[in-house]
Parts: sequence; structure tokens; C-alpha cells
Amino acid sequence: MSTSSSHSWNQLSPDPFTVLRARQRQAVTLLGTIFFGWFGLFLTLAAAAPAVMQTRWGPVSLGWVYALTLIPLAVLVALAYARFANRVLDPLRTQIRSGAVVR
Amino acid sequence: MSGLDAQDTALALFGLIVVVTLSVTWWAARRTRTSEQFWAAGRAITPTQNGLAITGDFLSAAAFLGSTGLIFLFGFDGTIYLLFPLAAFVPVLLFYAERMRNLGTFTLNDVLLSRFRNTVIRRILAVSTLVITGLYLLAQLVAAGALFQLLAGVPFPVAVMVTSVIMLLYVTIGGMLATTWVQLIKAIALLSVLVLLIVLAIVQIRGGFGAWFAAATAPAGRINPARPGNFFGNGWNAFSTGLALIFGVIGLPHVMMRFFTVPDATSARRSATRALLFLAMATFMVITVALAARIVLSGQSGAIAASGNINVVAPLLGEMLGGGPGTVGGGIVLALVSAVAFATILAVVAGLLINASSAVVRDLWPQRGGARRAADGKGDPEVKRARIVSVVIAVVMACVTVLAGPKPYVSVLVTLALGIAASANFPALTLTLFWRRFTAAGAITGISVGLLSSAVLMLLGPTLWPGAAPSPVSLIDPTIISLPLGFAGCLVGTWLSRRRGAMEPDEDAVFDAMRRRSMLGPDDGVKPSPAVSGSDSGQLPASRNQGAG
Repeated sequence: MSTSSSHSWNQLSPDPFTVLRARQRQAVTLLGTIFFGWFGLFLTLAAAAPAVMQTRWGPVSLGWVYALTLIPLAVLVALAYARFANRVLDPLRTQIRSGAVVR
Repeated sequence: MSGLDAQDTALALFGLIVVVTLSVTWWAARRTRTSEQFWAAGRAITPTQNGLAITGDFLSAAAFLGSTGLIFLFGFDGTIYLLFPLAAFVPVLLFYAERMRNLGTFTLNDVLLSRFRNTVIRRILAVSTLVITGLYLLAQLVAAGALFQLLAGVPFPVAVMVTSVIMLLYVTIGGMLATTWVQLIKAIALLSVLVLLIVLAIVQIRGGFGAWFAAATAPAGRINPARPGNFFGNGWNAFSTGLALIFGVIGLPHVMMRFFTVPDATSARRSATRALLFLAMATFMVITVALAARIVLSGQSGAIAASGNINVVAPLLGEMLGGGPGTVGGGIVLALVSAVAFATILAVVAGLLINASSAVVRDLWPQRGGARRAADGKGDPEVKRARIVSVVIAVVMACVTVLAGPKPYVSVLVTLALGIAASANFPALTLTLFWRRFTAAGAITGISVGLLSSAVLMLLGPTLWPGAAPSPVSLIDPTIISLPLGFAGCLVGTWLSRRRGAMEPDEDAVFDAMRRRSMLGPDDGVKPSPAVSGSDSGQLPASRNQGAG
């Protein structure tokens, strides 16, 4: 995005806490949208369009298959965030804390 | 003869569970002296242990027995009761777990109080905690009584009393450490029983998972299990319940309390991730077990529906898979499933009781200076008061449960508790963390409006309405109305207080400091400068949550 490229040009040393917040917001926005979108669609279809959820493909129905996709989706979103937090957010935090000692 | 054998085995297994868990409690008692040890297990729980304990909190009687029964009877609708609490852990992980650990001391309430040091907020949050845990406790005790009555032939009131006494022993003797370990042991036992049931089912039911799945979701009798709405009746109920389950978990005091038992925010985040992984496994297994029940117990669905006691489906499935009624194998598996279900209830009620007593002792009726006196070695007076309050709450809840009787659907009662949590706690908690212009008055209005509207709509709703005639409100769960009302209360309260000009002199600095601390913890990299730190440290709880050895 434009903000991520601009800060390195406009400011010589961006406030590390601002960087931490920006990185976290990016990850959370992406993962949150995927998650709430997929779960929200499920709940909306179950509530408002039960006929669609009953669509059968041979032995299985759309509703049950959709329900079973929710479990791996939640796991994948959680693992993605955990990995991002370990690799990106935690080092940034350590940097901010150690920076305070120098200041 | 054989029927008696099953009851004897069940009682022996109940006894074994009680002996093991009380031994753990005894061990924990020697490590529970200060209030930090009593409320937060000395902050010495590891993320994996905590993840398992949180999983245990969710695999309550409602999730294991109730959801199995609901899927068995109604098909698709039952999955919502399992999938949405699991889903709730995604927002908990993304937005709440780390922040709460960084801001709070022992409970959810501390998080709001870290921004607004306000006695009214403290009291009102304590009331909502008591209402939520009270309803939740009622659900669990009802399930315990019904289960005991059914499987061991013990009368309902006696069963409730026995459960309450054991719960009290865990909490008063062993505090949060015992409560956590009991929850851990039970989570492992329950996951093992689920694996056992699935293995037995795979051995007995022919065909692969696809054929199985097709048979279990094929229309049978008057119910088409692929059709949404068999249980909820209409879309509003389904939507409302989904909202209650996903957002209620975030405001659920006894689960959020567990994030304070780990040393730091990183551990809190890892607890949430691990809880989600364990819960995903459990959810998948419970759904599989319920589908197996639809095949194995298909002949009995009419009788179970007529009895109204859907909580017996899982134990009955165990009996069938073990060899059928009257056989030794059937008796053993029936006893095993029942005993583990009973252990589940014991572990969950203990966590609820400790949380309810924290609301009373720390927020409703706080007394100062406990920590200082504890250091003198005379025992922490806060811990002593917590024990007394626990006894009072347990007695009251046991009486209420006996009066309520063994009727209501457990999953539905739990969802009512979650609906209150979603309407009262969730909006105020979220806006406290993320909205700069939020005010204490806004929090007070929002919590009150959410609490009152959800409680009133529930009392007028079909689950709790005492009259025989159709209840005035037809929504099973009121969250679809009361959650927006809770947010609206927060917004209106904030707007009104802003109009009156209730701007605090340094509230921007307070919000900035809170946000920084919520992401970085106590060691937030800012050297205290006199201008900000005066208001800052005044706004934050005194305890800095050092991990205790």
C-alpha cells in the first residue's frame, strides 16, 4: 500500500510503535476479513436461505459441507496469525523495549 | 444383573475421578496462599496447559452432551452450537488475548478498569459477571443432576448437592491452580473418550466416511437433517444464536479469566492458538460422534425426542457401541462416557464458581490492603473472603437448581448466558480497547442497557417464560436485538456525556498509554516522564503482574 512505502521516504526513522501497529493492523484486517466473511456467509445462508443450504450434491448437502469447512478455516487463520506474530510482531516488540534502554 | 453392573461401574468411575481430582486439589492447596495464587494460579500455567484448560471450559456439558443431542435430533442446526464457540477464538486471538493479559490483573473487569477507574463500572460489571456465571452454573448443575439421576438412580436434588459440594472443595481448597488442573485432566479424559467412541464407531459402522456421512445426513422420519431450521424454526433464531456464541465468548468472564494464569501476553496468545487447535479437534470429533449416533441410534430417536432429555444421546451411543444394553462392554463404555461427562461438569462449575466469587470479593465488595497483610505470613484476607463467598454462592446456586428442576435444554441455557455476555460485556470491552472517545458514562450505559435488555427479553422468551401460553417474545435467544442495543447504549452514553463536556484533561494521554501498554505490556519501552506518568499510573492497576515462582 501507499503508506508502507511513504513512511520510509518521508521519515528517516519511523516510530517503531507506529510500525508495530501498522503491521498488526494489516495482518488483522486481512485475516479478519477472510474469517468474518466466510463465517458470516455461513450464518447468513443458514438463517436466510435454508433452501440453498439444502442443495444436494449426490450424498452430501451444501450446508453440511460448508459447516465442515469452517473448522479448517478457523485453524488456518489462527496458525497464520500465530506465525506472523512470532516472526514479525514479537521481534518488533523486542526492538521497541530495548530501544527504550538506549533512549 | 447387568443393568446394575453398569450403574456400579459408573459409580466406581465417578468415585475414581473424584479421588484423583481431590488429590490434585490437595497438592494445589499447598501452593495457594496469596491472592495471586488463588485467582491466577501464581501465573505459572504454560500455554499448552492453558489451551487445554480453555478447551475444557468449552467442552462443558452443553458442548459434549447438549450438542451431540441437538445434532442427533435436529441435524444441521446443532452444528451452530459447536462451530461458533470455536470460531470465537479467532477474534479472541486477533484482538483480545494479548491485550487483556497486558492490561488486566485477574479478570475481564480489570481491563475496563485499567482505562476507567470508576466504582460504578466496577459494580455493574460484577453484577453482569454474576448473572452470566449464575445462568451458566445453573445449566451445568441441571445437566449434572439429570445425568446422575439417569445413570446412577440418585434423586435429582441429591445429585445437585453432591456436585455442589465437590465443586466447593476444588475451589475453596485449591483455588485457580486446582481448578485449572481439574480442567486439564478432564479435557484429556474427554478427548480420549471421543477418540474411543469414534474408533468403536468406525469398527462397527460399515463403509467409509463418505458413506457414513451420507447415511447420517439422509432424511429420516419427519426430520431432514440437511435442512437448516429444524431446531431454530426461523432464521432469526439461528442468526441470533450464532451472534451470541461468537461474541458471547469474548465477554465470557470465566473463560477470559484463564488468560491471566499465564506469565505474559505472548503466552496468552499461544494459549488462544492452542485452545483453538484443541477445540477444532474436539469439535470435529463431537460432530462425528453425533453423526454416528444418528446411524447407530436411529431406532430410538422417537423415544429420545419424546422424553425431551437430549443429554443422554452420547452415553446411549457409548452403550450401543460397547456391545448394546445388558452386555459387559456396553455397560463399561456407558459408565465411562457418563463418568467423563460428570467430570466435565465438575471442572466447569469449579471455574464458574471461582469467577463468581472474584466478582463479589474483588469488585462488588472490595477491601484494601490484602496484599500487604499477606506478606506478613498471616494468610491473605482476600483469599479467606473468597472462600466464604464461594460457599454462599454454591449454596444459593444449588437451591436455585433444585427449584428449577431437570427440564431445560442445557445448550439453550448456556446460550442465554452467552447472550448476556455478548450484549453487556462485549460492546463495552471492545470500545474500551479501541475507541478513543469512549467515556466511563458510555461504558456504564452500554453495560446496563445490554444487561437489562438481554435479561428482559430472555425472561419473556420461550426458554424461561413460566406461563403455559406462548411466550410474549418468540426469539429463543435475544442477542440479535440486545447486542446492537448494548452498542447503542455505549454510543448514546458517550454522546450525552460529551455534550455535557465531560472531557477529562489528559484523556488522550491516558488512551495512548493504555493502547501502548495493551500491545507491549508493562515493559512498554517508555521511560516515565513526569507529565504523563502521573495520570498514567493513576489510571492503571497497581499490580504489574510479575510471574511468580
